[in-house]
Amino acid sequence: MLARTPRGFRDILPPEAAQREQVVGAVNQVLARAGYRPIETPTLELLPVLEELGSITTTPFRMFDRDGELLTPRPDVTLQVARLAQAHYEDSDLPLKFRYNQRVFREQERGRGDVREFTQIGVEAFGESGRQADYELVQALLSSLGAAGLADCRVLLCTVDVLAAVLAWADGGPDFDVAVKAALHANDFVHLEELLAAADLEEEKRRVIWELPRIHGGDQALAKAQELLRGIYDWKLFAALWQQLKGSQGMLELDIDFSVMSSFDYYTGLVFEAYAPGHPGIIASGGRYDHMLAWPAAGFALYLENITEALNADD
Amino acid sequence: MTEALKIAVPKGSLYADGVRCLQNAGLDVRGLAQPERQLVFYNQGVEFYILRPTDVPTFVAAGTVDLGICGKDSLVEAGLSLAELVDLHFGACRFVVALPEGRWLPQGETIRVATKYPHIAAAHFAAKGVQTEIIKMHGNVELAPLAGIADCIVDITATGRTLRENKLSIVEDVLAATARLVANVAALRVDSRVRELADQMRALV
Repeated sequence: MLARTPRGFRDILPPEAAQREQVVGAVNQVLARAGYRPIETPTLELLPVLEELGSITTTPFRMFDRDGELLTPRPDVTLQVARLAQAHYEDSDLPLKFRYNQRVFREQERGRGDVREFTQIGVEAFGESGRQADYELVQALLSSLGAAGLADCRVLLCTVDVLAAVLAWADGGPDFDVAVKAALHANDFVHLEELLAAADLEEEKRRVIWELPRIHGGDQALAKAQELLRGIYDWKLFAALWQQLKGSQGMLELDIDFSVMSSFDYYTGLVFEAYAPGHPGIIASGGRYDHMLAWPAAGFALYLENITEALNADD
Repeated sequence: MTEALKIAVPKGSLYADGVRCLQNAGLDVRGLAQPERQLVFYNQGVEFYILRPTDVPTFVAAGTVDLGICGKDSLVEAGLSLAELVDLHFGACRFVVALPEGRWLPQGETIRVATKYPHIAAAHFAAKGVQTEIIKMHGNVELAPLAGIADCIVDITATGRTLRENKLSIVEDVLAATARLVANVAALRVDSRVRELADQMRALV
């Protein structure tokens, strides 16, 4: 028999494995110092339990065990940590801060050379909200990226409740709201334009919805967004967070980008993404999701394979 | 020095209009007018990669190029995660279901569909709750129902001439497509040149 691996699964040999170990070790140290405690989650979960917690990205495998239970390998760790926190920490003192390094499994189409197994280094924090909690989360991300050796990463921030506020103000109806969110989620600006052209809305409302996801940059971007959404959204929290982050940020480049709203559906406030120059994939992403559990919650994940690719591209 | 912006240009029927759009947006398109056999052009601040339109989404999604031009049909068929920035309004075509004149689609049975676009065809019939067996072909799809290997075809048509010449008639519309400017999501987020080019091209169409 040919000694091959399943499609999208691969062996990791010493040079790369050593580099991964080094990155994971450095990031773990930073996260431990920031007060996150290690946890491990099972490889398999009950599919119905995960689906109860949130929408699941397509998993490559679903299987029945002998008990007749429907199982899936973890497609995501955040949902598992949420399940774990509910099961073991319902009445405990807050905040709860966890960190993990885990493989996750996602379905990919045949013929594209995409992997179906990859590694996330992540954190979840439960029981804290507000500016200081958001600030500490972004700081943990920035120090993780620094520890990973990606000091030239660009981190893009925004907050998703801006979009909720704009859609409520525009009052285009629930179908319109869902369609706009879907277009933004898909980064489909052509469809967004079509939706706005077809919508029965005043010109001003169309302009605001069109302009918002196109705002990108530093202080000027924030000023532009504040001007665009005057009286529609209360910028106090986000503006204060931005000032605090800007005052403390080290070498990493921090920007505001309202197209980042696109990538998230269960998030409720601050969201962010990190990219490395010259690397076409996402290095890290995360944000606040206060409505999934009984507590406010926030977290992020770093994508280990993208990190090592970006590190090796630098050489 | 900043790296050159990498752009995928579709060969074939979208080529001339695609190059014109890039030129109008102020890019250095030297050499693109007579590409001959050359597939890559390194010009001032920009690199062009000549690709089949159906391969453009693959290169853009992988980040091998920052931007690309291809038809909406290629995007739907590829189903990849990338940013769709501008409708360039040229290269209009429609996807249709066609079958031999005088025949009808079998009712309540599995329909055999011959097509070069299995995803588009499957999605169209699935949305209507019709069961299909998709037969993937690479060309001359019109032959399939005439030869009896399929009940109908899903294919692209601009004028409908090829279909008429093969005695096929259009029974349903599937999708209308035009050329699009698309970008790698990471490039859109971090490279301001991507946004600027998109704005310029949007203003020109």
